[in-house]
Amino acid sequence: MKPDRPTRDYRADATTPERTPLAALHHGDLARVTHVEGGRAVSRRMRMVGIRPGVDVRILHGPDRKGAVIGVGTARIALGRAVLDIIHVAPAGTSDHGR
Amino acid sequence: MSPLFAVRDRLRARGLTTSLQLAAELQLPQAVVEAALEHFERRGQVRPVSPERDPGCGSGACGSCNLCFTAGPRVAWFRWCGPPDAARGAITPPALPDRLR
Amino acid sequence: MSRCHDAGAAGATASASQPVVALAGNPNSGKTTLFNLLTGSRQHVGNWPGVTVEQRRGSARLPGGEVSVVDLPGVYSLLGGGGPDQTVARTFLLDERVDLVIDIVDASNLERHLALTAELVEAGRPMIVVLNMVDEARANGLDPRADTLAQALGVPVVPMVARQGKGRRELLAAMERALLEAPRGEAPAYHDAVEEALRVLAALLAGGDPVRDRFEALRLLDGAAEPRGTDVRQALEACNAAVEAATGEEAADVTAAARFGWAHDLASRGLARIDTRGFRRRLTGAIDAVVLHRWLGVPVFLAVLYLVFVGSFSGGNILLDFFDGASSALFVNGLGSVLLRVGLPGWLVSVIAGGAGGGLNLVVTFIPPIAITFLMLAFLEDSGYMARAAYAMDRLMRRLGLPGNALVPMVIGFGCNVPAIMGARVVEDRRDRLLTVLMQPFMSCSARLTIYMAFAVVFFRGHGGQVVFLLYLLGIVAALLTSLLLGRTAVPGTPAPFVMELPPYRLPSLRSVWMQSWQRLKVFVLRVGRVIALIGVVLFVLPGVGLVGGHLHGTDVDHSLLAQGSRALVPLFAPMGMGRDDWPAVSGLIAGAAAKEVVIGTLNGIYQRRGDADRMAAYRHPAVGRRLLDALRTIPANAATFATTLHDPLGLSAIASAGAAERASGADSATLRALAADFTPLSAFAYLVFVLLYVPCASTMGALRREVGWGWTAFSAVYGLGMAWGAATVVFQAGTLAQHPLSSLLWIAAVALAGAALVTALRRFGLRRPDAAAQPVGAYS
Repeated sequence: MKPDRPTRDYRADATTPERTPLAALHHGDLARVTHVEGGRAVSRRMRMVGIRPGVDVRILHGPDRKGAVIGVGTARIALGRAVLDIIHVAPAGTSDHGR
Repeated sequence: MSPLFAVRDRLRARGLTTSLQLAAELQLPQAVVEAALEHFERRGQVRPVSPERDPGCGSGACGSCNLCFTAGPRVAWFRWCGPPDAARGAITPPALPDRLR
Repeated sequence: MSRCHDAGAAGATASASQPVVALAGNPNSGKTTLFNLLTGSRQHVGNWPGVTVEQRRGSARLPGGEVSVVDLPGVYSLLGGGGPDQTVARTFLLDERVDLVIDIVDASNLERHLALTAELVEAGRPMIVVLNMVDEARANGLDPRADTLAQALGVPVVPMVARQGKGRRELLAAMERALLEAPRGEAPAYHDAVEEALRVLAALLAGGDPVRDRFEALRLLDGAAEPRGTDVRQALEACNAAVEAATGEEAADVTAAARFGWAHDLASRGLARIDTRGFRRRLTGAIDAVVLHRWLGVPVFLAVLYLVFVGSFSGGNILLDFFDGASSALFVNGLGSVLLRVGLPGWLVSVIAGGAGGGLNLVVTFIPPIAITFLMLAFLEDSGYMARAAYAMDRLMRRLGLPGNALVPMVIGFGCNVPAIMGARVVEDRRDRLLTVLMQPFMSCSARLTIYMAFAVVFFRGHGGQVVFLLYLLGIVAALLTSLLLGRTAVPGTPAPFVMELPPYRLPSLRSVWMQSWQRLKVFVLRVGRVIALIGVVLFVLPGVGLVGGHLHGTDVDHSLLAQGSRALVPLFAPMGMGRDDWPAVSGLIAGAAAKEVVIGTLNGIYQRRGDADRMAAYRHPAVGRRLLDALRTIPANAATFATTLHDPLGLSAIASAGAAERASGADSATLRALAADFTPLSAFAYLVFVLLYVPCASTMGALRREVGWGWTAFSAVYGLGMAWGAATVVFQAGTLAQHPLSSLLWIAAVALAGAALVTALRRFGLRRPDAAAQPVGAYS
């Protein structure tokens, strides 16, 4: 994997369904986290806010230049742009809002 | 699964977390999570990790500034200190006096 | 009603024929409210026999006759571990005559409260469940279904709002019926192994009452009671082993888990979710859509900050003159007059009333705007907006080399820099945290606000809010520039990615906001009061003695040590518009290095000494009453002014009006008048810029040292002094450019040159330590 962050639309890319970066999703999309890149500090930070493989997430706001707000359980987590590229998910459809 | 075991298993997997986090993850009322934690605390398997001693910023500079009490609602952390999952079943029940605490 | 024990000692007031109704429930379930609702004034308060637990009894009138009502202590569990309250409740329920138990549960916290219900069912008494606080449950988006719950529980369930008396009649009817029908609930189903263990243990206990024996057996299995006798102990050990063999869990966990599961099941059946959660979610989404909007996010944040500070200043203005006038009447004139009458010598009176009292007056004067600032900051912190602001500002902050969550300590810094520096711990990355910490001294704290206020009242009254906002903004810019500068030179690197939970929005409770602000205000006033008293003494000695011909002599303030020392420093401040006569302002700055609150106190002490003579006249004829009345009269006048600032928030009309210094002649305080004489609005602003940026107070320096070590603390102090001097000089020289273009330009060029030299030096430092960002914070010291 190249170290620099790609900024293209991933949907046109040959990403496997299991390894789509969060950045490629759209507002309202549902997905299950499959893998979190990065070192120990990053993954610890992610675990603290409940993001780990197997967890279902939903895009609540964005993604835009700032990043995105995702729903994890009942919590809303704001993620910076750079973080969206290191969280890989398996897309699981779209919903307008909530369960 | 009973909420009691759901709380235990999640805490055991995490090692250390807050009741708020458990409540959010398990979709249980926070009061129920806290009751479950109290149960295991009585059983000596959960220990609350006391929040910072200072009432406010935790700076220890108390009284020297006017912004104490700003830390917002304090969050208690809980640590699992009972047997790990894999060892369960091999462990004999603890002696009685322990559980009466 | 098969079990009619003697009413015993606890039943002293109830006649033996009256049915006994016991109220049981968790603490905070509204039990006492319900008790009062049922019994009205017919109640009797005593103690439970043998313990200091309050016992309340009363009687309630049902259609079919009177019943005796006993309010049991509020407990979470009947099994064990709850102290005397629990013992009282358990003993009463199991051993006394109880014809009906009313179990009160909080509908908004149903699952938790049903845990006790499970135990009450085990106690085997006829029971009714009161589903209290259904209104709060609805407000939380839960719809309590009393009928479904009743069906599942096997006992009547009465929805109520006891606080408002709602459901009282239904409850009385249900009680009447229940006394006849004696409904008993469906206990949690335990695992077969547990049931078997309960049977074995209960048989062994054989106390004569099967319900009570089973309950005791349950307590043993739960580990809530000690087994008595070896045979019971051995049986219990065998039972525990059997349960664990059958279930893979320990008996104490299995029984508790069964009750938790029972409560969970009942609660999910008895509560339907109303769509307010969806509504709340949509509302949160809608608010987030605005405050996190890609273009609107930053302007919204700035607008919020602007509103906070203009609101504080304009709102505070309504009461500012009143606080000023009233405290001056009481602490200066009133106190002075009393002291004179007591017979103290004139010099002592002027020290106490003029120095300490005058200083107190200045602090009290600024209580209204500072209190409002605190209120607004507490409101912001509680509302859930701050995390959004951090996210909204993340991109911008990132450009300046910082993560967005560095913004949270910055906002705290508006109150005080010390917790802001400590609060920087929320920033995880070491490099980011160092930068965040070094920024904090530039955040304009509430102590600095008093200085701005005093000057704003004199020089910028009509648009004080804007000037103060400008200074705050300048502080933010200085802080951000610092981070940008250091992040690109001395500590290169990129900020860690942004990950932050956004708390749900909520309307902050008035109580919480009020308590927070009150605590802060209290500490603020106490701290300042202490320092003012100390400074009063110092300011009596220093301005009173001077070096004359190599010896210390008593002298007037203008020839004192303080004046001599300060005058020597004045030339340094000449480029920012200070003349030789402005030495008191320099004294204030020196004192301010210890604590910013004393800057005005110091000025006050000096000016009071100069104006001693006319003060003594005021002490002789204090006219406290008239002055208080005058002070009171300023409130409506200032309120009217506030109304106009509402539709002219930028204060444009005030700028057009007559000179600000002229208005200040109307100011009550001698200090403010003296300020007006010593400064022009421009030099006053330059002075305020200096105050904003130069070394922070001693506490902040201490906090800096703890967090980043001596090296960076020393750097911060020197850097702050340089920034302050440079910025104040540029402000003053740019403002007087028209009068002496050449010298002004030279000064500005000199400042620019010094800045360039600093950048070069920092870059060298960063290059020499390319691994700086990878090192722990301690390594920076």
